[in-house]
Amino acid sequence: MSDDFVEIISALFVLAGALLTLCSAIGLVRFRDTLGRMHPAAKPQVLGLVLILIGAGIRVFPDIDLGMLVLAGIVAVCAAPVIANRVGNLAYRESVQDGTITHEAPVLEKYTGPGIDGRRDS
Amino acid sequence: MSVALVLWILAIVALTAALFTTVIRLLAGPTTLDRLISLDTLVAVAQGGIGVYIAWTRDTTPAAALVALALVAFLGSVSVARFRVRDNVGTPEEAIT
Repeated sequence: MSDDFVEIISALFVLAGALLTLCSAIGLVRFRDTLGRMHPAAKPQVLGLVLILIGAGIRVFPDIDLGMLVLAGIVAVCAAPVIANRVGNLAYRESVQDGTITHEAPVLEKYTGPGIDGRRDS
Repeated sequence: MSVALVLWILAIVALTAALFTTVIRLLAGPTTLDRLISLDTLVAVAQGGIGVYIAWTRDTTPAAALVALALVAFLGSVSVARFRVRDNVGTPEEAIT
């Protein structure tokens, strides 16, 4: 009975992670532009992967050490903000240059000089 | 059929639906940044599938593949974001010069 309970808890964690990954994929299709699509590609994806790894770790814990699962979780948590920052910066620059979004930071611009497109907003 | 088996199968169904939904954006993305993001999500779906396999069979042999896949996806995404040229210029030589 105890083993069955642990298995069901692990399966619930894994199912929650898989549903978060599905939410990430749906948001990737539904959102409007690249800057919007950065959000489902960064946040629910990492949380879903971490939940799946927690479920797997609960299942295999007493017998096998789970250093590789912890390492995979750490790599995912560390790599996702870097990728989101790089790609989001690139998408933001191109959106400003194409005119699909406006550069809305006049207060910041007072301290950092003219905007990213080289002209001040009037 | 136990309750946990139903939950594993539901997780695999959700991951498969996420796979096909991501492939839609990968094929239809207007810019290469969208394709880059969807490929990143595709790697995460593959990692989720490996995690479901580990949790189902209690076999931690593919856990090294999880780490390797994460590192390769990180290097690929950062490289593409670094050396990318824009879509609406003609050839890559025109974009560089």
